[in-house]
Amino acid sequence: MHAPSDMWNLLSHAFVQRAWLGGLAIGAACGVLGMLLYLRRSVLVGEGLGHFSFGSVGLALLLGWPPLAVALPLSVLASLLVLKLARATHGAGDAAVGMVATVGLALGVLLASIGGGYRIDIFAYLFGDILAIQTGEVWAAWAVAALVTVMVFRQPMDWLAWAFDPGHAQATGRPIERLDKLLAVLTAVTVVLGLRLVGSLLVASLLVFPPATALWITTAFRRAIVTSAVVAMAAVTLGLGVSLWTDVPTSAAIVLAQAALHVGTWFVRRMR
Amino acid sequence: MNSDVPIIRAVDLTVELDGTLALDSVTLAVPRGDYVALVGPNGSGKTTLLRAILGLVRPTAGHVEVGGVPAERTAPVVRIGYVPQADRLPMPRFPATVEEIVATGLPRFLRASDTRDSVRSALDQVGLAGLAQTPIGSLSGGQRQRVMLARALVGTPELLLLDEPATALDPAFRQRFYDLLAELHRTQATTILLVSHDLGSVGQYARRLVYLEQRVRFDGTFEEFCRSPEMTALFGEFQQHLICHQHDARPV
Repeated sequence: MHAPSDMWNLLSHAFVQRAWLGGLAIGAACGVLGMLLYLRRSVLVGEGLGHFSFGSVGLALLLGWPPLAVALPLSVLASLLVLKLARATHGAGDAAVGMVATVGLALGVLLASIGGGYRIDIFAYLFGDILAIQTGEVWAAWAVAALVTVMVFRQPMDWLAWAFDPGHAQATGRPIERLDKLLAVLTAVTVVLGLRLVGSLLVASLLVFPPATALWITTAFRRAIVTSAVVAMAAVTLGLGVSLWTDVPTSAAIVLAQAALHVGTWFVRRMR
Repeated sequence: MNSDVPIIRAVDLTVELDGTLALDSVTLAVPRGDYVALVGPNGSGKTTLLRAILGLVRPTAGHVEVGGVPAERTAPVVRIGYVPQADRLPMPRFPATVEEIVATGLPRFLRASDTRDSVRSALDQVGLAGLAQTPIGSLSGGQRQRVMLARALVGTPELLLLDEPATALDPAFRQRFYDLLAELHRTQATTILLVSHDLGSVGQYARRLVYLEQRVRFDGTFEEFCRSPEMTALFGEFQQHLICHQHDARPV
């Protein structure tokens, strides 16, 4: 465990600042997207895409290509495939997610066993390595966070109608298919960027905990989305801080920080 | 838009869902300003027909037009109000107020002040003005159904499609609801297509009755229904009498 004065020294390092700024951006994007997925009972999509991304990272490492450059387009395609499968199976989205996720994970394991020499790299994508995040990735994360925020708050009523009653929304002229695709693509991009933060096994936590916590706090639509993003950013800050202070793995600290915030919020609500 | 063109026109509409024939060559025309009750037993294809009219179900054969355009492209052409079956509950902590949910029935890109006024007026119509800021998840089933009605009414629809709208309503509001539909039909010439399995109840309100059992088995007024030998053959004399007798005993 570091002394408080060491913490200030750590915060002055560029890699820590990059980790924090990148984490805030991914947290904000996950908070917003997570709320939308949560309301449509589709949070498993994040889990599935995380597993699938792991497979595509395995492929990239085997080929010697940049992992994110391979994982990004493949995960976007997988996300659109999940959407298509869910429609074809009349809304059995969880089955579609399960299929795509397990195939992705199996692919990753298979490629890892063929390659052999890159297990340490793959480990970083399984459990995240936020302190290794690069400046370009920080910018990309903020660009995605900005895009997600603009996308939702430009037409919040479309998203509310989409989340509450998609059949009614489509019948009354809201662009439901476009919203579905937009959400699928942005979720895939955010999940892939989130691999660096918490890894493919834990990335879904950023899509699940913040909305669930936000729903303990507020009951109005726009406020719930903002609260979800704020909760995610707070958990990233808390987790990163605890990780730096106590030298525990950052991804685990972020997930546990989210769990602590969730339980804490539930407890405060219950005490009132 | 040409008012001679039926607002709903289905021609030889056939829909198969997962290999089951839900609609079989249904041909139906609903002129503007008509008030039609679509009745039939459970599983007779009523909801499927409504969903095909809304463009939510793709025909296997035939076609359906609303306002003269294919159903899936209707939304910008005809203002539609729609109340789906009350079989899906929102999640208990769904983060939206009654006011927000009703506002989703309005056309897109409306000014905030117009939205507020319209929502207030629609909530007034269904007697829920005092619950505007209440979370939707905390309402009872009947109150939620009234919110769905307000959402359907808020955009001053030309065409109202109602799928078993009175199921969760208490008897007092049910009467008020049917009166409201009659008033909309009379004063604003709103076209109404009301789905119900309760033939006797809706027969007293609608101008026209369509009996569906995968195909259109009857299309006429309630009085014609009561005199129809085909319907006597279908229901049996006693059952038909009960339905028509209920009609005679309608509330004043």
